Amino acid sequence: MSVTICKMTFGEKILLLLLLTPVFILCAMAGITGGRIYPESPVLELNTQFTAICVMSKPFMDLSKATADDVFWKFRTHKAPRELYTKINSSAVSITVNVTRQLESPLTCNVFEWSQVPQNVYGIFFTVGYPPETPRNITCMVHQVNYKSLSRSMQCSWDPGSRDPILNTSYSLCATQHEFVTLRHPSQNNTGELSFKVMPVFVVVVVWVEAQNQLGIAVSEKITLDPVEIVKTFPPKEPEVISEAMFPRSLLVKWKHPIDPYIIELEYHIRYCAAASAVWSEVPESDTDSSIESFRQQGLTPFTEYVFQVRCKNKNIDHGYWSDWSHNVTGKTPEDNPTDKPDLWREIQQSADSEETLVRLLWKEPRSANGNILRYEVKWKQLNAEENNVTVVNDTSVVIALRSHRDYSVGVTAFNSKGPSPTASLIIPKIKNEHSLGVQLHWSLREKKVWVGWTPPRRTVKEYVIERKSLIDGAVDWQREPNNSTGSFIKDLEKFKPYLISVYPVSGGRPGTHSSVEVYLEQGRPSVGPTVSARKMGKNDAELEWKTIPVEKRNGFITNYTIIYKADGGVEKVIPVGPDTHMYTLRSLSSNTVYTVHIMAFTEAGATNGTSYSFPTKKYAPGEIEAMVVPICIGFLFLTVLIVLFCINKKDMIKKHIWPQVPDPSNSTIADWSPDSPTVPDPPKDPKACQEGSWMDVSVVEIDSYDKKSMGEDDKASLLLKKGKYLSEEHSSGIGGSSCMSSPRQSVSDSDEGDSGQTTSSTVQYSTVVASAYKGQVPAPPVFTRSESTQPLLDSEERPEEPPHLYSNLRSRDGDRRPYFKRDQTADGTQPVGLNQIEIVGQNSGSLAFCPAEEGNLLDLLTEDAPPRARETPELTRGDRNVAKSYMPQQNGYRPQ
Amino acid sequence: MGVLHWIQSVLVFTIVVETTKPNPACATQMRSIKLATMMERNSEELLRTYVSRQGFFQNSCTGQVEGIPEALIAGDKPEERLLSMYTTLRVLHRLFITVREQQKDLLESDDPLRNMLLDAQTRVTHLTGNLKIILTNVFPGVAIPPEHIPVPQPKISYFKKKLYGCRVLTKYNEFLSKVVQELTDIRKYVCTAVEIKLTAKINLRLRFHAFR
Repeated sequence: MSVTICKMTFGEKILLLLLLTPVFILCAMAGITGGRIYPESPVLELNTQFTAICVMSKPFMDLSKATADDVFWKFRTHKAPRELYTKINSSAVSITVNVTRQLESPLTCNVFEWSQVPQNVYGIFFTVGYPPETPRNITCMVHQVNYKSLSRSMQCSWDPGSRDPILNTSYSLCATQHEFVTLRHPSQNNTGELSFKVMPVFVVVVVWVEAQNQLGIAVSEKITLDPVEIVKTFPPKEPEVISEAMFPRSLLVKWKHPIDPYIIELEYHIRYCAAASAVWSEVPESDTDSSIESFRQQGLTPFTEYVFQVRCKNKNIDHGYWSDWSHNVTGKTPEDNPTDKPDLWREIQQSADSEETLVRLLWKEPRSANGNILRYEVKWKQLNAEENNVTVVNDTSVVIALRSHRDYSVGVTAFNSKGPSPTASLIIPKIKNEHSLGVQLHWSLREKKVWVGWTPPRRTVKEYVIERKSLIDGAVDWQREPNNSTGSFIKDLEKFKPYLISVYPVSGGRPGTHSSVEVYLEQGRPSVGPTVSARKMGKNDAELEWKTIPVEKRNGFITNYTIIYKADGGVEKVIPVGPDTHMYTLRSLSSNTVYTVHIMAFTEAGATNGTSYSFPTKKYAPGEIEAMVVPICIGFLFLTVLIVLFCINKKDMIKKHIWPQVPDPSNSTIADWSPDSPTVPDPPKDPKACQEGSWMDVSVVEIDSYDKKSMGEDDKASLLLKKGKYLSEEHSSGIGGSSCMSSPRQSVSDSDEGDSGQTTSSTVQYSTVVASAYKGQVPAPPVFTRSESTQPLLDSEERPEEPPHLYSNLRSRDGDRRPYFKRDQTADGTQPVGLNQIEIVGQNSGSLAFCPAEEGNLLDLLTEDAPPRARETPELTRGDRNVAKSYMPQQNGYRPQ
Repeated sequence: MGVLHWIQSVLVFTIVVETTKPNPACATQMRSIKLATMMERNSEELLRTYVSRQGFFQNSCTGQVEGIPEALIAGDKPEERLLSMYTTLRVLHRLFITVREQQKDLLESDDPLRNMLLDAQTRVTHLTGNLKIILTNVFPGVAIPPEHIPVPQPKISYFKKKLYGCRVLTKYNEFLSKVVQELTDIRKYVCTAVEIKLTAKINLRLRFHAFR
């Protein structure tokens, strides 16, 4: 049929629907129900069989022409398999299924009307779940309110079961007493509370739990109890600990009942521990199972603080509830004699080479000091000697001096306020005579602890002393191990710190030969890296040096160093070296290059970089510069010698070139130099000299500044000038020499040139002296006297605008300068005459420029009026300050005749 | 012979088990003694509190009041004395109801005395229940009288209410001291009676086994 419908066209389906629609509408209008499903709205228990029956109504069957064969079941949208159906009759069909969580509500009963169209007959909604599990293990508790009464409520808890019932399940906590009172209190699924008007005590109460949901009710086992048996009381009241001086090893603990004993008789439980410990010791319950209010705890350690706690419970009930522990109460046992001896050890501080050995005795307080140790008495003596050396100290160490090569016996006794301890003894054998009981040591890390093992010596050993010495601060500690041990964990080591572990086999109180090993509990990277420096630097190599990292910063065993270096912009190079290397020479370096180097120090845990260090390599290797400089110097020296020799050989020629020969005016004779003689200069005596250009005009005289003879003449001339009022004022004096010098051309001073100083000091230009008549007068036959002056022409002649200089050499006493005449200019700057001559003009009041001024005045003038340039002239500035200047400022024009 | 030995060993085991099983009547008896002792101590304090609170002297509370039984335990046999105690306690329970009712006019609602009265009344109920259990278990033949519905008391003056309460509490205290003594005396009898019953059962079984 369904196939037929499927083959129908869409139009045919619509038509069929239209035909059936009135049927449905009629059914609805007539109130015809399709049928029913039984049971309706069921609650199904999971994992059980469920059967539902669908019964179709007769009108529906008549109208839809459906029969039981047309019925099909659906769980929501899923059609149930037909094999689950059971046809009961023509109008009823049942379905039986296993109830699982996968069944989806609603369950519907459906039919195919007209054997083609599916039509719902009826549907039911159902829920699935489990019935409640039976609550188990009910436990109840009653709390105390005050000393005389209990709380009115009883708290109970139980196990509701592990299965989720899925359905809403209610729990009730129920109780009866004397079968005539029943209490029922709603509760949670696993806890509840019963409230009473007055909490019944010494009465049997029956308690149970009921769990109920749609699938049923579950009642727990009923427990019978007397509420007084399930009371959890307060902790014992006002606990205290009392110390009794007579009993140093016991403490008395007291407390009070927390509840009226007429309600509950209690038993107690005590625990205690030393204040420094976290492990409790418990007093056996049998010792305190009666209704007591005090207990004396014995077997305690003297002078130790103890913490006590007490709790209680109903003594008549084995499984009653213990109260909480009381708060801590502490008490301290009284002092007693030390029962242990001090733990004695020694440290040899000085070698046996000297006559005396310093021994540092170390000890630890007795473990059972039983009080405050007030002092220690230290005794020592040579073995087999009677006399004892005794000292009393408060500290736990003392240094004693023992004679070397002697065996000593040492004893230490501790004292507290109650008395002495047993004496600890130790034999300190002579250093070179130690027992040969050395052990072989090895160490390793086990469980993050240092374990030191040793091979026992052949001789009998009473015990081993393992000494631990910090290599950083030198602190010494030790521990003892029994003679049958072959290793031990070293206690109290710190990370990253080196220790020297020494094992001493002790026999007969004598420490034997020890063996030592250096250990680290845990190694780390060095705190700092090595600081490197260059010890020597060469052209292609550099010797590096670095110091050992301080032991406190090593943090482990240095396994190796790595040298890392590179040139500027170059490739980094790495060189590993051993842990004992602290110097290394880098080779094949480039010359004149800056290198950067640093060193990494490695330990087992890692490496640390040292600081970087830069150094340049040299440009030249040692001796290279010397090899170049020495030949050059030698060559230069040789050249110099050659030049000197040349100069010596060619001295005259050089002199002639540099200093041309000037006729010596002192050799001139005035008689030969008549004014009547024509002004035309005489032909030179030396025709060669005259023929040379300028040399024709300028005569140069070499001045011997130390010519005493000249100096005498100068002085005469000077004196003459002073006395004769300038005998030459009528006549221009001139310096003539050769005819060459009386050239009509104006003589030109070389003072303008840069080497004027030199020139003026060494050479003098001489003017031509021309005699002339004045205003037509015929002069008296001139008597030409040769100027005594050898004064060179000065700058002022060339620079008339400047005030004339006073020539220092006029009054030169030391004769280092020769006076020269100075040719001056006229006021207008023109040549005073058209002749090639120089007149001495400008003297004040018509006098010549030779000034009779006193030395002081001259100095003043020089310093005040002298032009700067003149002052700057080296010859002047140097010599003229000490030498009076003889020139006065030149006036314009000639002195009127 | 071997079979007989086996039977005997089974019987001995049975006897041991029977005697070590908890005895409810005896345990209840013990509880009752403790409960009565506690109640007696509480009654003393209650009386002191009441007298102090109401401004009486304790001696002024003596004397007979109508409806208040004498603090006597009647009967010769234990069950009779148990029943007497049970009956008197029932009466005292009713009296407590009356006293608490009267004290509503005399005390504030949060007065501790009212709680003490409630506590005493409830404890009486508990002790009564215990005695009933003992009577039921040990003396099943004893007829326990039914509960009496309390009769409303006529209105009386405040003073009389105070005096009434005082005398009830005095009688209550006196009676409890007798109950403690009586229960202690009866304890042995009750617990022994249970043992006798057990022994009788064991004897019966022995005979039965021997007969077989």
